[in-house]
Amino acid sequence: MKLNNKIILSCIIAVCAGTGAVSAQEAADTLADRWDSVPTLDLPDWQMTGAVSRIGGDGLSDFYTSNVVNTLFGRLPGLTLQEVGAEPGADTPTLNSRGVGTFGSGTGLFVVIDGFASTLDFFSRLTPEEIESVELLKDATATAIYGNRAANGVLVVKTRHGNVSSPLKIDFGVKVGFQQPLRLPEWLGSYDYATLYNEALANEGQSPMYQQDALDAYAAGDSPLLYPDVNWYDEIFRSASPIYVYNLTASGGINSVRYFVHFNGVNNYGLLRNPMPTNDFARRQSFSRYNFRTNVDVILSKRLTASIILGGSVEDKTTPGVSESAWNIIDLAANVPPNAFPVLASEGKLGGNATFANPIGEMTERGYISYNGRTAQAALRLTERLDFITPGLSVSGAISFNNYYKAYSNKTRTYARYTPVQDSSGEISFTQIGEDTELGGDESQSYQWRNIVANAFINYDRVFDSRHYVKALLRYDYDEYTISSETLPYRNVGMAGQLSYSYDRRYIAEFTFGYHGTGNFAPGQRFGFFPAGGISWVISEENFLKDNPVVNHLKLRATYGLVGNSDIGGSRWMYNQYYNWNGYYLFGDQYSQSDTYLEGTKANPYVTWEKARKLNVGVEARLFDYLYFTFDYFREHRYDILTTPAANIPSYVGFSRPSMNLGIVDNNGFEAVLGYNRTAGEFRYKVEASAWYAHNNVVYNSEVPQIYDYLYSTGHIVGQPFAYEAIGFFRDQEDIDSSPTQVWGEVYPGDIKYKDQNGDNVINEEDKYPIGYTSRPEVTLALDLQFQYKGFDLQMLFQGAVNRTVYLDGRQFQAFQNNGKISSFALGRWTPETADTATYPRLATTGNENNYQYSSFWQRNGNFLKLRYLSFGYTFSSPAMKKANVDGLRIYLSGTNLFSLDYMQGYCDPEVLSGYPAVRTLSLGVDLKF
Amino acid sequence: MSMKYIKRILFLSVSILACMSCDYLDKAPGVDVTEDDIFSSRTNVETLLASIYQKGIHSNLGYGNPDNGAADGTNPHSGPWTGRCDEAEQCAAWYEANNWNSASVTADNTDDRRWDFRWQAIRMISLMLERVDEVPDITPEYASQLKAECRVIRALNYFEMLKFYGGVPIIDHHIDVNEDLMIPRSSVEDVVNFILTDIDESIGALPPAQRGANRGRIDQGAAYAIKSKTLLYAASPLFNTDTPYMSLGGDSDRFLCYGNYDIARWEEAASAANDCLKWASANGCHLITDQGSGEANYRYSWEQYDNAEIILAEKAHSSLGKWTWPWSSIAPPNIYAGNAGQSGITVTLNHVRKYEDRDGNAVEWNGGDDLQAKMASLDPRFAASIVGNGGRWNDEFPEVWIYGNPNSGAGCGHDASTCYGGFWLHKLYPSVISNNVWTYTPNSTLFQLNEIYLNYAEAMNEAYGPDADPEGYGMTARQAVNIIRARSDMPDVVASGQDEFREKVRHERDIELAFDNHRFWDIRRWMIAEEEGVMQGNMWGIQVSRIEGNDSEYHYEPYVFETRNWNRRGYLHPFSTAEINKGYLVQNPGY
Repeated sequence: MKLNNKIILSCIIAVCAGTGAVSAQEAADTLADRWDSVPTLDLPDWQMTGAVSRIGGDGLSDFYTSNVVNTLFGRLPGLTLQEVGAEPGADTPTLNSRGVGTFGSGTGLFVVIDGFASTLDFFSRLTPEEIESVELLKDATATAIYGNRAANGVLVVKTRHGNVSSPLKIDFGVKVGFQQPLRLPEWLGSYDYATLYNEALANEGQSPMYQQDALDAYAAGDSPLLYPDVNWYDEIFRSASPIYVYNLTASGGINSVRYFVHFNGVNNYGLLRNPMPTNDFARRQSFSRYNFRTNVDVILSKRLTASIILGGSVEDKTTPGVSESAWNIIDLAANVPPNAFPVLASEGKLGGNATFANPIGEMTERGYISYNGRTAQAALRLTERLDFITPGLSVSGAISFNNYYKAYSNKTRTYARYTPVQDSSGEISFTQIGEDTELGGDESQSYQWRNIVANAFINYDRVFDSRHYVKALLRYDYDEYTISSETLPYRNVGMAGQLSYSYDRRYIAEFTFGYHGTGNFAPGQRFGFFPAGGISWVISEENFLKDNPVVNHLKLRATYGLVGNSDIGGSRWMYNQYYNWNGYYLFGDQYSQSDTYLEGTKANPYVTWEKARKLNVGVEARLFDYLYFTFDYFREHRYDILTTPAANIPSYVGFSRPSMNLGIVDNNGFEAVLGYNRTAGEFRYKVEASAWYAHNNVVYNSEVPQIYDYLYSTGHIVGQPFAYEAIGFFRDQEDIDSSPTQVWGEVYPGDIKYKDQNGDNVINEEDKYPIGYTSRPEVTLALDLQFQYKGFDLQMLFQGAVNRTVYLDGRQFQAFQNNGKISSFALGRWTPETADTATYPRLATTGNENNYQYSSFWQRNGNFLKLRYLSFGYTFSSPAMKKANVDGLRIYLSGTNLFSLDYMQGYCDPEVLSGYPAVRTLSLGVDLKF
Repeated sequence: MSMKYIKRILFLSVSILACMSCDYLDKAPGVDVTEDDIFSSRTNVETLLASIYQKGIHSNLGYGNPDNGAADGTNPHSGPWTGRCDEAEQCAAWYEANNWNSASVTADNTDDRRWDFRWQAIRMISLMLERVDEVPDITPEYASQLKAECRVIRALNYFEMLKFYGGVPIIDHHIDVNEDLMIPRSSVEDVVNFILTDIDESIGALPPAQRGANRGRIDQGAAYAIKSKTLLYAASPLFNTDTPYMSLGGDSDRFLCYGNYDIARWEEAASAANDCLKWASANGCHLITDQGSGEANYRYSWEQYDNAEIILAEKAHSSLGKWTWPWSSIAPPNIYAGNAGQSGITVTLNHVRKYEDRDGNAVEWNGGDDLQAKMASLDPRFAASIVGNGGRWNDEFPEVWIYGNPNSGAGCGHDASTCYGGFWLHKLYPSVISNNVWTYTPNSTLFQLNEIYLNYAEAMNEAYGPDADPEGYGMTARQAVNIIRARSDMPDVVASGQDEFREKVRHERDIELAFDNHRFWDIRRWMIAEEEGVMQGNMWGIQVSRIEGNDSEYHYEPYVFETRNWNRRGYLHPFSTAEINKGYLVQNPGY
């Protein structure tokens, strides 16, 4: 039977609405009772057995960011974030719950917004002010209801609703501040560049390129046209860029309606200089987003409530140049040597040469790429109490439409640039490169993502005899995603349930399950059952501890269950055997074309999701009212990870190997939180230290047979770097002659020497060794300090990362490579005189394959401790304000990324090593509440 | 009232359950091609047939940069095979042909880029054999013909593997993923018998000769030719012996050779060659003898596609630009320079020395002032294959100049750069390719009738001696060689006795079949690789210089341009390390 879902949904709505019409005729209770009795789907905290971290939106809103995800560093125990650079619109960090438990490609969290399946992209476009809470669901019982999408953890975001306790509250806030790039590379000027370039040539046995008169001219710096000395970073970046946020919310409730209305605007003008004077071709870098939201709840009758959610955003981003990202311009500025050409060859004529375009020209003369992006979130939920059937029973149905649409407007052209040339008579002329062209436009590019989500619940929530707490929930889920780049939508369907029983608030048992299917797998393989169970013992409710003056709360929890991850990587419909067109064979003396079709990658009719067995054991306690702590230990066994079986399938099978669910990864670790929260007179303070750790291990991955055991990635962490082990620099020719042969061409004294791991006297692929960690830390540390004294408040959040390795790669670290320049990083280069103290290999002008092999030489300890967030505020309060209906006025200073302790020696940020820089943000905020 | 609710809730629940079981998770139909589609019509099944040809018919030309791996069609070997042996030198050093010159073919560097292609072809062939009878709109006869074509292609691929590796696993069905996959190597004898069975059981279902629009498809001639070549190789010293070239010990030696010598194998080879020659005379396949001169006959026979002498050619590629493979690997750099893989192939003096003069006498190359006269006196097949100093490439390059040091540009002829041997290879590169005809379809001849005459001569001599025809085939070994020589205006062969004649037959193969991907394999099956100047020792070229005051003659001086190495393990190829590590193969000895 094939039923249109929309029909079903209209049935759900009709059923609910129909019942509402009936119940409206019944006698009304007081409205307050009705609001209190609206059924909730969530368990109260005390009744939970699973592992959940939570932060309220209040805690996020002090800090300026154009991306709410960047306010989560160190906030949610178990959540690991990796910063990606601060380019507005492209600054969503990578999120992982409890590290990663798979070597498959799908490691992302499942994001649920207001109860509907959503995406991290969508979440990143919300504002802190409209968020009620962000919860990270980590263990099996908390996530099993999300079934085959739960294994990587679930991030549950709830937006704000009004409160009937006050008819109207208005909150108006403004933040104004600036961002500064952090730790930009220190590029050497023309004199140093030329001197060191000569040194590099000498290392290669070549004669110097720059003669003494040229060096003198660079040193004197008085001939900027022929002997320029340009710091291109200084030219393209400004030292600070302004940022603005303003928001207005109004919320409250009257009688049977409550509401939350929100408007928010964010502006960020980016780090690129504002081109002056602006011409028709140039647009400044800018990013702005305007968010709006109306969440309304209405009591329709004694039993029926409706919740309407309407949220959205409009985002505009303009980037000068020919790319959506400013990366191209920054990368060019990191490449062009200081002495290549001047910014301006003469009035109105940009410098340039045959090798390089002019970074300023790329910024001001190429046109611009801009897009307008829109998100829309619309949802309707109807909830009906069915107490007349049996007390505690309710049903709920909901549907949500979410859409993200992005349309580009691209304007591009080319421009002329000029190389100054001096002839023998001293006359300076200009060689033109490129041409000025008209601005061309392309409005055709767009992207769309949308989904329809529907769910329906039957909920039973009742307390018998004041001690038997029963909660049962059965839900139906349906969602369909359409993505503009895919021909067919993604569809998921399923059911889920939850059964919780508590006795006397002391003994708690919980069972949850998901039964979910996805269209990406074969019929018969689509649905999976994911059960989980948990128990909990609230010891502090036992008679022997009840009302104990020391132990206020003590609870033990344990859960175990099975969850899945259907984001397994590979292509869709791997269960179908396809034949792919592969050109022609040309039969006959006239070579007529006959199509050929080749068997595609072998189908795997049994392809299925990854599965994870998860154990979680936790304890939570509060002592002396002010000391609290939580500890959760977890073990995860992930299996059925998609991989290509390389081992042992002979070539003679004649097909390309199918992807199969064979991989196994174990992951385990803990989260610990220790806090101290106290009020002493007017002094209130909170100190909370937390640490979380996740260590994974590839147990099985069908790898290609290797000659040496250390070449297997199995047995190591997911993404284990394999690097040549650098053991210093070659001292001299004798050292080279007596060392194993390195296979990347001739080596010279001062080149990096690698360890011969297999002792075969040749350094090649077989000598790569597992060294270091990945850039994803195994340990995250957070220290949250909050103080309040009278009207003053101070908050500092330190965040640290441990067991992390970064790799120094890119222009800053590779002197003279790809015609590039040289930064201060290379000043400690090897020379015969500094052989004992050198920190960098000998300089080379040509591509030096030997020294830039992936090796431990370029790895660095990536551990760091950052002051992520700081805010310092003062709240005014006076009777006059009260009179004027002003509830509060707070002025505050806040900052992010204020300092970092790390092993980068100041050369770069430990998380953002190249490209669009990391930023420090300082802002002044005013918050006015009526 | 409450009944009304219950009904509504029931309706809701039923709707939900109905939806859980309905099929809307199914993938919507698309334009994707599935295995069932392949066997749904003649048109579709012929795409599978074309795919089998595409993967299963190899080429003697090299297509593409080996770094691109399998992306480059039927033969991703860079450059033709000839640079692997003493015929020639692939001038650009990075070509993998040069790995043989330094004996650096190893299990990590196997020199076989068609390993996967053959197995893919064999898999498709198994699929065809198992399912072609399901195709609704073809006759049983056509289905039988398709099966027969496929089995002959399978035989060809097993022959190719026999010549690379000796015995290999025999895969005779469409392998399922869930099968036990540890199929070991079969013996040389079993592989030969598998090839013969495929051919013998197919030949009756094949059309006698494919012409016109079906040229390039397998016919009886191709089947006879593959059989002739297989039996010739099986009878040769490499396989037809009780002692392998290197021992693996015990039964594993059967992967390398028969384990005994049997003269009957030569008799079978002679009979198979005779069958092929009889097929040729009945089906209009004949030696090219009507082009006006010996040189023109020979040139036409390799240069003109689909000529009457060709039994089977590879036709996997449409026209390719002269700047890319395979052309760029053959043309001298200063003639039609290629961007991709520019190389040129220079012919060695080791090979040129073998050309007799037009009276059938051996020619000495000891240096002197008579280069032009000497070249003019040679067997016409020299000029039809090779361009020496002052020679003609085509209308655009009527004079090719190779005097001076090949390593330096100063004072050298236009075409001297990298011409280490002093001669450029022209064969394999049709003269029509020019600045006007700058893309051209490569067809690679795999079986040509001249080979069959020489297969016949070799086998008859080994079985019965040069002048006996006890089976009444109608031709002796000597007569067969003389037919080949006569069409190139060369006098009859002079040799007495089986041993002397053996040398003459081999010599005739070296000249007649030069550069056509025979010599490397002949060296191996005759087991002459370690002789000086064959696969090891000095590779000679000539250094050409101008003679003061003489425009018509040039001085030449023989010199050693390269010393090559050989390792006895090279009599068969290595299997790759990756494949060996899977645990089902016994590696060939020495690797």
